[in-house]
Amino acid sequence: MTMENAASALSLRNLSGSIVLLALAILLAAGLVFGVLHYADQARQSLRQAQTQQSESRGRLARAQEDEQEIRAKIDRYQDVIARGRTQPERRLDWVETLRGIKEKRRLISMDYEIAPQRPLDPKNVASGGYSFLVSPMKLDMLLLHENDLLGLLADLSTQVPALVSVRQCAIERLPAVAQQQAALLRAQCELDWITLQEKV
Amino acid sequence: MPQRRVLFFDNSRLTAYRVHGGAVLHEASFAADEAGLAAFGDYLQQHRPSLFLILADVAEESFQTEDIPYSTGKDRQAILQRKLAQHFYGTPYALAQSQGRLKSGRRDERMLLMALTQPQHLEPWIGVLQRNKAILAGIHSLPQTIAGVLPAKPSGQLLLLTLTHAGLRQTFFEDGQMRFSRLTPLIHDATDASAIAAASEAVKMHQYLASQRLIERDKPLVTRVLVHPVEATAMRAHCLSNTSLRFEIIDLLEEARRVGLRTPLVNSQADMLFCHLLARKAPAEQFAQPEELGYYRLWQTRFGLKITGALALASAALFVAHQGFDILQLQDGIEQARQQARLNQEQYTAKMQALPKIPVSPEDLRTLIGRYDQVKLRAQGPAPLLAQISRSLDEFPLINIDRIEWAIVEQIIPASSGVAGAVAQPVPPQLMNGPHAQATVTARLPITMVGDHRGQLSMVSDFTRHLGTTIDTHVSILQQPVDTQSGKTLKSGDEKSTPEAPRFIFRVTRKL
Repeated sequence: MTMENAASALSLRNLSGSIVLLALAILLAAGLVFGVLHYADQARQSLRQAQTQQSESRGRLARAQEDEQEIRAKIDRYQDVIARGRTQPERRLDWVETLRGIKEKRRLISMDYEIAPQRPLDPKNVASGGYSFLVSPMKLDMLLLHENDLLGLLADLSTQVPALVSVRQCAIERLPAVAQQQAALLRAQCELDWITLQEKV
Repeated sequence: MPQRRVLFFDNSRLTAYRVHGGAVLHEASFAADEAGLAAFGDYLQQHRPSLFLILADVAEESFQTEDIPYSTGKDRQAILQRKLAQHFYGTPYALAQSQGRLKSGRRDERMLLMALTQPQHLEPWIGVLQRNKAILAGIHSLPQTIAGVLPAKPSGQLLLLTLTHAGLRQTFFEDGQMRFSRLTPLIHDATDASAIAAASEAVKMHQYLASQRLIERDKPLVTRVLVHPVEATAMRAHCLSNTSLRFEIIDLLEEARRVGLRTPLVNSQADMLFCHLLARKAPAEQFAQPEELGYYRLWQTRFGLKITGALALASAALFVAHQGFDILQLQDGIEQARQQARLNQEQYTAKMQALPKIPVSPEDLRTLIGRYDQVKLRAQGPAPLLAQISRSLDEFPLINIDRIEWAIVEQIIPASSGVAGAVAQPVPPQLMNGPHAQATVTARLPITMVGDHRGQLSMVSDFTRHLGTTIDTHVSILQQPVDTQSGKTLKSGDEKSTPEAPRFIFRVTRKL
């Protein structure tokens, strides 16, 4: 009986404690290894990010002289935009009066216009540096004696209104002889945009 | 590591020694009776986690030398089992120890077969060990350890006399290999009795060896006697060399020191020395049966599992330490890079702050002005392109304009061959991307050229070429004054009908 016990001592039951301990040790070892590998991987990733930041900042600093000149020039441009009143709210009454004044000054034969409601110029996803570009489309129909009347009108508009006047399209055609009773030789139909900037809230 | 204990067994008693780091500590002795066995059981219970080695020093033993054909594996095992059964019938405690291969003949392997021939003396002790689930690591006989006190490279024949509690042992060696051993129990422990016995037993041993033709009769046999210094004088007095024996008295204490025993011996009985030799390096061959080693195998397996677990943890710890060192270096690098990036940013910010103050950040300013420039580029109006057309018309005063359609376009659309009289012209690569100012012009040639088709084409060609000489300008004719393509119908002028001035249409595009 005793010998049988000694002979059968090497059994899975007697080894279960040691096997559990071994399994725990292996699990712990694997956990340690995977944990430290994960941590090391994160550290390497952080190092890459930090090195990228360092490289970018070094490059930006190296370009600082150039940037400084560029930004100074852009500040001048910005201040010019502000000075021209491009960022002022649209003043349709002023525009209408300006148009009337130009018509009288240039003695234009006929001038009809239609200003549509204001809307954003760009889709929402276009970056525009903290400002929205707003556009008020205008249709212009004129009878002209000479094409310079049109060009003069556009030049006057550009200098007399704070908004940026951008001509999208123009059709100028010679009028048939029968239509020249009012001395008009040409007819111009144009589409213009009155563009203003509005700071985003 | 568990504690190791050697159970020194002779016919009169069993003595337990704890062996640790060269020291041998006597712990208990148990008589071979019921009381002794019970006390031994109690002792085992107190030291259950220990590893126990039995060292048997008994007279009931047998040695045989056999030369067997060289073999390996199961064949060798079968031969040895057969030989052991032949020589030692009736005892399970038998083993074979290889003494190397012969140098002549078929180079057989010389085996020393040994056995404890009276197992009934040992079995009660083994029974107690098993009942108490003590970890028995092996059963050895004292002659297996005795070679530990031989010189480093022994040669020739040698008779070694040693004393233990069990008596006087005479062991014969040939070229360092034990050939025979014999224990003579001593009745008296007196020094003189030991010396007298040594002298007389050496003579008997010489006669036996000579009768077995293991030694030559006329050649003196070197006989080393391992003896404590206090007993050396008596031993020298009785052990006198002659033509058969040449005695050498060896200092037991010096030998004990040489083999690393740290416990001082008090007399010539070298039980502790042999316990130390066994614990230091137990021979691979031993007498215990596999079933008696069950707990030892269990302990070995558990130990192996624990060592494996410990190795896994240690390896992981080393790996973690190595990675930790790398991570520290990485973090140092991260900190340096961030610090440098901060310094660069601060210097950059300082430069930017020196600029005039506006309520827009530099990045927004770049974006805003960039977009404003794009919008403004398209706000030039029709004047520049009309002025260009006007300059060409000044050169060709016979051409009159009926209609101009001006627009801002992003891309030039090549003149289509579907348009009547259109001439497809390739768009230069630098003009592929817009924006462009584009005018589609309907013009008229003088009525006097009605019949002059070649002249009409020539004038239109010259005019458009002149218009296209300005840089970044592309001119295409959408409709010629006369269509000369083979696939079209070409008519003569009708003199009865009212003539009309020839018309043509062209498109001029200029990059903004």
